Amino acid sequence: MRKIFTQKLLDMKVIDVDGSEIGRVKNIIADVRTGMLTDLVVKPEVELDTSAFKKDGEFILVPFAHIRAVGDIITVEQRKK
Amino acid sequence: MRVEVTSLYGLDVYTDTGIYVGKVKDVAIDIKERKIAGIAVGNVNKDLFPVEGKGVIIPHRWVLAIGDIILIKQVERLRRKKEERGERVE
Repeated sequence: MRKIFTQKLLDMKVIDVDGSEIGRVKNIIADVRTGMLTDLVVKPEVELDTSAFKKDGEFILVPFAHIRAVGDIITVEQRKK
Repeated sequence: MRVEVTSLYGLDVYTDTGIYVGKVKDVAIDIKERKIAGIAVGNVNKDLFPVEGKGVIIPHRWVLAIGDIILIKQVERLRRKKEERGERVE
């Protein structure tokens, strides 16, 4: 898989696979010891129901494990429901 | 230790032998592996990397520690480049 620069990810749109907008990437959380990426810090859409997400102040955390694809936008699949 | 990736931008990068490498410009990630792939370094010390481009990408496996600065392994390849130019390397 190709590498992506984090500067390119910042402010990218995050869309649920069901088509609804989740928000925009504000930051990425990584464990610097292992190099593992853990979460995307996302500024949620105002009308989004954030109850299903982990929160960090006004932002929500989307686990990297939920990312389906990254292109011009990021699609995520929540494994709840 | 969990950090925000943007907090790494601008950190100085040094080798474990104390040689300045450059400044972090960006972080390359591998989405599939969910890992940091490398660190894009600009303002590069030309003694270590005789490159013309904007910078170099340091693979994450060379990174020893990330704190107030980033410490990387003085890898053999860098050492050799110095020796080729007839400089003494400790």
